[in-house]
Amino acid sequence: MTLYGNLRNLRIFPVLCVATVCAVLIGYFALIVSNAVYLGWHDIAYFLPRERLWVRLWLTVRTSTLATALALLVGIPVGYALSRLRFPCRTLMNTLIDLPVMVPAAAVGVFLFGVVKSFPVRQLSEVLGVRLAHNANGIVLVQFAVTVAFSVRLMKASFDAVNPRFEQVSRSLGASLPGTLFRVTLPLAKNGIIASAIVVWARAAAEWEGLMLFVGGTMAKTDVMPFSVYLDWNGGMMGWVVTFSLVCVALAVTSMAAVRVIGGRSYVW
Amino acid sequence: MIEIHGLSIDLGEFHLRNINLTINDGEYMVLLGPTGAGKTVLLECIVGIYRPHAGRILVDGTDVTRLFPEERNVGFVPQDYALFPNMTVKRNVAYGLRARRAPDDEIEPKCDEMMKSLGISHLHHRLPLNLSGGERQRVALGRALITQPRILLLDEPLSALDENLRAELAAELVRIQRSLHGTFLHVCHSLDEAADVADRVAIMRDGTIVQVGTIAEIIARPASLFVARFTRARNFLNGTARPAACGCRIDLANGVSLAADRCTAQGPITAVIRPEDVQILNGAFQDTDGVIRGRVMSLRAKPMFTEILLDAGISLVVLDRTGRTQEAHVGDELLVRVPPEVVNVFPRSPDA
Amino acid sequence: MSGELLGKRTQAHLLVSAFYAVTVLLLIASCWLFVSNLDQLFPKPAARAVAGMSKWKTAGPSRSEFGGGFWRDAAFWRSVNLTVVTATGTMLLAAAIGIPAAYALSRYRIPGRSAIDILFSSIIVLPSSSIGLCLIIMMQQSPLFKLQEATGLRLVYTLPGIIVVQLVLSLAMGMSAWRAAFDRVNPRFEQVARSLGSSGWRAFVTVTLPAAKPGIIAGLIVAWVRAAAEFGGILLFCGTFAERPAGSFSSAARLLHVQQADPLSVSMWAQIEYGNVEYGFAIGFTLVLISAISVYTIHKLGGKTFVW
Repeated sequence: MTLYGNLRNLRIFPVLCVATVCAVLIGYFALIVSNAVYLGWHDIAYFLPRERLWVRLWLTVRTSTLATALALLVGIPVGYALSRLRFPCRTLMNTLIDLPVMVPAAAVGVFLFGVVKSFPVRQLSEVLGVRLAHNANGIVLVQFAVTVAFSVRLMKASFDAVNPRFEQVSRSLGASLPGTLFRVTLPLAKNGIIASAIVVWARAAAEWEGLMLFVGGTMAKTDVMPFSVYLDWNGGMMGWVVTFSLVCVALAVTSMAAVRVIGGRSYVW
Repeated sequence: MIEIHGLSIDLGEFHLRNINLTINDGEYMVLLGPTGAGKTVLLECIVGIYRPHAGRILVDGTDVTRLFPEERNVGFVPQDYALFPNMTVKRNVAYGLRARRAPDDEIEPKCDEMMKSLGISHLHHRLPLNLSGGERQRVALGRALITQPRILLLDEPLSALDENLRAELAAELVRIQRSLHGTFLHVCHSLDEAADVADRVAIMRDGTIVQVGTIAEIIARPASLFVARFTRARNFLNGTARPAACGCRIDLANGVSLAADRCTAQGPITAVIRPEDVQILNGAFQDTDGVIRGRVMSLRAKPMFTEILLDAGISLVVLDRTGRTQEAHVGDELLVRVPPEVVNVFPRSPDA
Repeated sequence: MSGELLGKRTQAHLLVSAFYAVTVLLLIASCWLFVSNLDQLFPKPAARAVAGMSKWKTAGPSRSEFGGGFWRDAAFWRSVNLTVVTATGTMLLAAAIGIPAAYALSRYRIPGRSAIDILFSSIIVLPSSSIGLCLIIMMQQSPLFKLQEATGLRLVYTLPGIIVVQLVLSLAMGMSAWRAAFDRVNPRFEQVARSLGSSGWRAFVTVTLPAAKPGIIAGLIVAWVRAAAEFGGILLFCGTFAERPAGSFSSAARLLHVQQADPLSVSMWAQIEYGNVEYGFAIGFTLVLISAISVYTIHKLGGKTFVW
């Protein structure tokens, strides 16, 4: 056998695959822990109790939660409609739903910037007394806009995972469509919906690019955590930058671990 | 009584063409056919999952074609039973009553009674996850029957069970149907299963119903070569038919000739003879009219009968349930007779 | 009893109508988001008047033309070049690393599956500013720094750094698609191929890859688009390039015509910041167009895109 033949016998391929997967895992793991390693316990203990951090964290949490609630309010009906109901442009709608998911968040922020200043949104916001500008409402708006299509996608997948036979049997037994929805479909889709809600929340909490294009790049009342990472980086405050980044990492890992614990699918991996 | 008139639907992979069927009150009807024939689709149309493109469905005279499933009062037991996994057995059974807003004091006793008659009272608080196949079937039946549907549709209820359990549960189904005077429509692909339960059978193929009748009728007088093959007739003999004194004279290969009592086709035909219908004679009948003399080519002893392949100029498969051929060997001579009334004649066609 | 039935029918119709209404509203709102901004591409009459008054024709974006005259700006085309070159490079790198890795994750039993799943999904959910910062820390503070010193290849604040940043998310999302693609191929096929004498590599190339082709291509497209859409991480890890002196770019960069340009997403932000609204929106619409084409292609191939 030639040398080449011998080399082939070495079963390089499985070794190569395992080697790449290990490299990837090590790389990503290093990425995740780099902030903590850089700071060290002493610095973390210094920065963590600071009010500056908690103000921003609270802002992030409450805006993300509100945005997630709104995204669910839209996502569950539309997801159900796309999953179960038959209507004319369903396939077109399926394709269109994916588009906002792939558009860069920065572009969405720019477009929101334009939409908010003109008809009809400006008039609507005046009538409702809701100011959509450099404040928490603006944050929620951007987070909502970026996550709503994603939420629809996840909810549709959650409903798709429920066998339609259950609903058919429920209706044959005399339950109406709304009755079946609340008694059978939603309870069976519960885990998927909660897991998807957590993923949407995590995405909303990580949203800052659209926000930056919406409000501009200055420190103001709209400093959610990921945005603060960028702003403090510009300001050169490395300690704060890394601390904020650490909090972002903690939020991401905690929410994904929660999804895992609940037993739902995260649909992003 | 359920009447289906001219039902047609096209679902891409499956379709139904011009289905006409009547199911009488208190009847146990079986829908029989190979996979892909559209049996489940027909059930789904009757339940109301799909709206047919043409045709009507009448339940006790009312046209239900446009109604939602919850308005039809049709019971449905799907193939995997679809017991609600997040509810206990009791809540599963009570579901239909609760959905129809039955008064609370009625629900409890009705549930108990139904569960007792099905022998599942001891499963009150169990979750469907932990039940055996037979237990799950009973719960699914109880859930569907408690609302007294006008017809109960069962999609392959016994297909997933092994043979012994199947016979037992088939008897159970018939018992329940008789005691409730219910109308059942049962879908399956096995002739034996149908024979265990059916009053009448409708054979489906490729989206159409090809024959309706009792099992005996379908076996004795199949409407087409497909039905004959499906009911396991084994002898398909090509020949030519000409009218004769009492029916038909069929000329087969090698000078063999048969008589049939009806002439349903002439010219090139295929004659179908069931193996168990061929009479085996002893030597005394040697010179009688219509006797066929043949040589045993193979002999196989099966649990209930002996299967013999006979070479008599034509190839005949013969089933001996009488035990007369117990002493026979390969190469022996055997006398058989094919009674005219068991021969079914069909025009010869390239596909059956 | 019939009154009851009528109630149920009406209930069903109401619910279904409500759901349709929300769907239609969402559709209209999404369309409006894009359509209402079309007028931003057109210059205001005042700006046109001012431009008419000016004696000099300034190079670069102007406020008096449709889309800021982006097609005439050489920097725009260099941005396009840069985006395409970096995204393609990232996609190829991600494919080279990610496809074998995804195959390993799909086929071999690797311990700690839950932890691995949490790790990957966390990376995808991480904000880009965090990713950029983590990369900087890794490059400056770890053994990687010494490696950079040794080889003289600097990644932070340079053009190749763009590929590094884009790779983080492209790789994760690509692997998600590729792993799903391999999961869908029944391992039986490979087992039969091996029993017939193929090596693992041969079975992979002749049996698994062709069967997983749509998913593989979908993963490639997702990796490319995600790389092209990267914005925040590039800002932190590489900074902007448009204002740097021409000499700071290597000859390779000049050869590819990517010197002194930012990737499209960064360029869009920069132009909006400078006030060239028409130009910025033109780039924004370009990005939307790129995403639309990729979504359409993925759907045409029958793939799924439930990652962002």
